[in-house]
Amino acid sequence: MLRLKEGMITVEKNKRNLIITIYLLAISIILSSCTGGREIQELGIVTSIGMDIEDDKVIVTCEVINTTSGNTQSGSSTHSPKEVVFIQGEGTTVFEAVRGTTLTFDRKLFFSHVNTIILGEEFAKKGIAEFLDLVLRDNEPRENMYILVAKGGKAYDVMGIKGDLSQSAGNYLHDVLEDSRYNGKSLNISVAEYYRYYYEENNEPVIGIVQKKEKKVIDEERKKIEPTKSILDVGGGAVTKRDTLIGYFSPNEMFGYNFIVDYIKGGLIVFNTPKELSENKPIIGSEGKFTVVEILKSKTKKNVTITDGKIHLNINIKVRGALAEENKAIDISNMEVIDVLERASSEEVKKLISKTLNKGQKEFQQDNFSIGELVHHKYPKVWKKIAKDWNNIFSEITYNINVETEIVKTGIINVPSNLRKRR
Amino acid sequence: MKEGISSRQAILLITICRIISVLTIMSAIYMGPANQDTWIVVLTSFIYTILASIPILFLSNKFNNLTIIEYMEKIFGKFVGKVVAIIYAIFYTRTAILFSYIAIQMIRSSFLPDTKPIITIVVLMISCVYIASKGSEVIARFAETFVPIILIMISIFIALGYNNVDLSVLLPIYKDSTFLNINYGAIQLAFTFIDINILAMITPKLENKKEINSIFIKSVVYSLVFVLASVVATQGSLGVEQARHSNFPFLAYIRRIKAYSIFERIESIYIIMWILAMIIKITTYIYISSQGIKEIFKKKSGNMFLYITGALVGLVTFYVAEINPIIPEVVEIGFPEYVYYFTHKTLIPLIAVIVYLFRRKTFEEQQKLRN
Repeated sequence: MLRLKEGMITVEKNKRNLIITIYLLAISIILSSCTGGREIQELGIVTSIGMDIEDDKVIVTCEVINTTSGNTQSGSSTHSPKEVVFIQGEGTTVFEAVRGTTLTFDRKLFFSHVNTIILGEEFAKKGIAEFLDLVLRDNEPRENMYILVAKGGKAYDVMGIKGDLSQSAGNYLHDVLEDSRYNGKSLNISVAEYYRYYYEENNEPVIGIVQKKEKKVIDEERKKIEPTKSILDVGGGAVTKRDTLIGYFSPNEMFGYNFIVDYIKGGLIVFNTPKELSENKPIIGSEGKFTVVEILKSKTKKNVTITDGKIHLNINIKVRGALAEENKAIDISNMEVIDVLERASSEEVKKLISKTLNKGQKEFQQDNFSIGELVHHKYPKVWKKIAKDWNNIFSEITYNINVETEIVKTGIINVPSNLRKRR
Repeated sequence: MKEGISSRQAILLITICRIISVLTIMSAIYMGPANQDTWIVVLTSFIYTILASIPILFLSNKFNNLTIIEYMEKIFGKFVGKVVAIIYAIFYTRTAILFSYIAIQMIRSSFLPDTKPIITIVVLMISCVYIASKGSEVIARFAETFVPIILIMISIFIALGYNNVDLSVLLPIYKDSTFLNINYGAIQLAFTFIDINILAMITPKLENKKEINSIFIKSVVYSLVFVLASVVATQGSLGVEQARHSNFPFLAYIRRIKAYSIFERIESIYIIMWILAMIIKITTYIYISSQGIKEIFKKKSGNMFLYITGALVGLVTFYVAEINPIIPEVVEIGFPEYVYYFTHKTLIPLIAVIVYLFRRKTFEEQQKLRN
């Protein structure tokens, strides 16, 4: 009986060991992720995409990292020209164009690392939404990628331009966009953000832009080979009607736009210094005209009111800033002078906002600022009646802008260098 | 001493089963007004969830040594009871299939697009059946170990996406919805949460059977907090309409997280957590459906029914996943589906309660005789 019991225990033990062995073998195969795996050397890792339209055909341009170059050291200024390659595909749809690249390019494109999507001007004028379906539907592209319009050109015109320090053209553009928070004159919105505004009833989204510009080469050795160099400028914004490009905001108008929609993260308010401040001052050098306030923090609150059936918009902005530059000979150690500068700075912000709002109302005649949403929030019943005709109503609304600037820092000198300090 | 399921384990098990369906397909955003007031729908659903669960809670308290399958037979008699038991066993198996299907669709369309579904299904089913074969106590312990980690991770994920969340998306509050459609949405949501059935099947294994009501109410409250937070975060981040366009809205929210320069592309961590939660849910339903079948056939031991159920769930999931790629059919639940949930969650138990009340004297006499 005991022997039988021992035998049964041994059988159980063997059975258990067999199961554990099979399990470990199976797990070691599964956990290696061999199934459906794609090796890095087989991938064409795309960092930016450009979309254009030519003769009713979609042209997709991809910047692909060259994983075989072996020269991808970060920060190096002497890059191999083949660190990235540009490939193009053509088709009737975006995906057909993308997949078309497999006929000519020796890697299957991989879109998980795309950080910018650039739309050619002509492409954007045809309508974006139908072509961006792939970007939202496929699991590889990320909704966080920045979306931009190539102002005045094709997407592929701006794609090959590489900054002096960035590793690739795509990275250059991405880095410039990331740094635009110090400026306030551009817009870096992602595909997901674009769609959030796109889906809003009667709000017409604004997208960032990128523009090719030429600059003189400073480097003496390089100047001999090429006197000018192409650079990218992301100042300004592309105005869409639903998903179709209809115009642009200039960099200064974009500054105003960012104030209205409360996107300001930084930037400089440059304004004429009030003349009265420098009267009878002991000037010891040349005198300029401008004062610059650097924005440290900005908060915009908007609300709408309806009086006698007319919609009125109130924009209240509070800016905390630092006196960053003073060209005029004024005594900034005097609090009264600071008060005058604060008022002048506020006036400048008002001008910027008015210019942008006027352009939206008179030129584009549509709401790019989500003002309709404010009406919807505060007067939902009214909104139901006017929603369909909102863009026409928006063109007629009156507005009031109230800006309060507070200068909280004046730097490490107390009067400008062109003014003698009183004893 | 025979190990049972503690109240805490039961709460965690039911909580995660309720949360994971919302985290996966977030059907709440399609219900009722399907607009920025979804959070009100979620809050209101608490009342209806409790109301809809009263019959099962009542019966589980009365027959706390029996599972729903067992007491249905006792209340309705042998023949009708058996039919009802079979209906419930099919209901649980279908739920297991439904969630396996949802899991497979999310896996194949979001992060393992090149892996054949059969491989995923086989691995998923082997894991679930293995855990289920160890019994409800092991499932409960598994939940007790992993659910707190999962809940903490969800909280961290929701917090990390704060910079993408624009709460003004949720305005105006209660202006575009009516009292009627908010309540309709809340009723819809309450019916789709069917995890009271887990409690109804594990009641005999509970260590403290007097806490049935408190277990359920606590799990409803805890899960609603997470459901509410995830719905608000997702709608605030993607916008009401874009969230509705997404098959897996919370995953889309996670994909957008970019905070402090280091927290980005963290969906792989979310996926690990999500798979664990999904395994708990599918395992639980495979387990309770096999238990149900076992009780129908009056078998006390052996895992044969479990293996059969697991194989069936795997095969049907594979078949459905191969012929039906449309997730919206699962996400936007139609009226017949609500009737189906209502029948299993409330109607049959309600009829059972009525029958019980009519036959109460007989049951009490039987109880006296037994004593």
